[in-house]
Amino acid sequence: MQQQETMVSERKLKQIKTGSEDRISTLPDEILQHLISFLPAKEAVQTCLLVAKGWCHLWKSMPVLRIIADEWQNEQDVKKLNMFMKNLLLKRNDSAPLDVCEVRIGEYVDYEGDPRVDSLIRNALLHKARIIRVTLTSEYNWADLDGLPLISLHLTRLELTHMDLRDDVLDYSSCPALKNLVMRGCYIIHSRKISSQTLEELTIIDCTFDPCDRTQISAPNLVRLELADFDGATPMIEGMPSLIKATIRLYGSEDVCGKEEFKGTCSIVRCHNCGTLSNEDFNRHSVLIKGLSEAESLELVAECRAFIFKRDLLWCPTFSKLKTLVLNEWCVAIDSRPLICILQHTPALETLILKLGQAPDYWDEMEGTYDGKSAQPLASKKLKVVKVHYEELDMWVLNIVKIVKSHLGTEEVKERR
Amino acid sequence: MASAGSGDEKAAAAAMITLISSDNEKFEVTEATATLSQTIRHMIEDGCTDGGVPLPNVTSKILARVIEYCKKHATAAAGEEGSSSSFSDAAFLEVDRAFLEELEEFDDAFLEVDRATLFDLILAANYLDIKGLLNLTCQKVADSVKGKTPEQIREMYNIVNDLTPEEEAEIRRETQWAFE
Repeated sequence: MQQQETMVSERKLKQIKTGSEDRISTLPDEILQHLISFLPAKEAVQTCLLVAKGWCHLWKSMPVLRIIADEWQNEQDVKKLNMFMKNLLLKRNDSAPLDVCEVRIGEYVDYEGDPRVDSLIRNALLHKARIIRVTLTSEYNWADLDGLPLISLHLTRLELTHMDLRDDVLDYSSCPALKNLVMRGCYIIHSRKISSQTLEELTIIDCTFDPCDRTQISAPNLVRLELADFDGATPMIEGMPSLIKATIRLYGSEDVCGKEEFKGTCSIVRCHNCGTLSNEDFNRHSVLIKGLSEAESLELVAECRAFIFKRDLLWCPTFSKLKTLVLNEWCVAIDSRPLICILQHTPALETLILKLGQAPDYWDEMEGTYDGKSAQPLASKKLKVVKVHYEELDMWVLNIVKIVKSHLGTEEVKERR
Repeated sequence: MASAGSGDEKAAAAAMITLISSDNEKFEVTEATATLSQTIRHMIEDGCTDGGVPLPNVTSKILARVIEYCKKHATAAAGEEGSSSSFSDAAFLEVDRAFLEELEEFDDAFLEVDRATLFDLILAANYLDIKGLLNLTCQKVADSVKGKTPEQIREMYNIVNDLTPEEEAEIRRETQWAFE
């Protein structure tokens, strides 16, 4: 047996006295702290306190906290959880930096308030947490995070699931190390702006934005963006010169228009695409596409009645670095003008993938018969791969393939079911 | 993009490092394998690896196991670096997934050791600063105590109970928040 005498602790002396081999207690404190931090936090604390005297302070320096409250909780349980989270951080050793703080909370009764996740996050930041991950797993519960912006020199990654984000908590100007932000199923209704000068990756999935006022996303150093399947108004993104890859999925947003789906018969009362509201100030700018113009790889997918992409093409920028582009049927639903517009603005494109679902009821059957013949090849000379994925090889799909071929000046279009 | 298959051979041609165990056995490993250890990485950066790296805290038996782990995971690390620039290319992800599964199987088999070896591996991983191995081995011990009572844990690891029933009652009273 090898020796690693980094410290002679009380535990070690005990072991020598009794003679039986207690290997675990002879481990350096630092390793034991690391080891017990793999346990759920409550179990870790209890184990440290009750196993032996020499263990009782170990929990105060655990590098990782995994607070898990999966089981259904009534009002009393929520209070107990709050007491636990408060004491866990309050009684912690101040000189032991926290690496990761993870919280997972299941369904609970919120009559007397939600778990105080907000104070937990702020306390974790005071202990220099580098990664914070908060997940509420029940579809019925959201915990609040509100008030002043978060402040931390150490936070690099923040993941929030099912939180109600209010006030200035999405202003990350005071988190200069933050690189990665993930929000899933969050309410972002009461925040007008998501901003960070340092953020490199931003993921927003299944969130809810304000339906009437666009949330602004200002992250000039972003490298990767995923924005998918949200409610409310599509957020407006500011320029991202370092962007490499973006995936945008517009399903379920407020920005839908019957005109796009049924050719000119929009029945939505407050439509932002047609009618008077389309002239409101916030509708007179590109919402998404302009901000994505520096990307090398783009996936732009939408339901056919979502109008944001199509309308943004009014201000279509040149995608000078774009190599890979994935689109679905929105760009060819009624006619192929949106697709052609994009191809005219992507001089470096190498790969184009078109994912076609069901044919819409109102597609322009005549289009292929005249547009195709007169079309000039206009796409990138670097284009190597064009793939069309389809569900059913019907007239619509055949027509689109024909149009694409004529505009690309190539016969090499691969079709795949 | 580094390919998982040929990375090892290329590195082998470039640089080999000799590791010397506490019982004086020598192990030749590639730099890619050795640098999974932050401790060795720093020594290489400082140019202190000529004539071999003595590791007086690690026996040949344990060092052989550690190297086995590092070899497997060095190829994984090379793959990861490659994938960061090619993003979500579906085919690439497929390959990744298969490789990750293989890695997981390797880790599971790797952990099939007696308790003494497991503790030696923990100490070696800590000394050599190999984060993945330290996590893997510590997780294994943590899993073994998960859901156990303090009494069961003491029994399992020969820990002497030096708490009197009165002291235990006092702890429970003073830190009530941790026991509710």
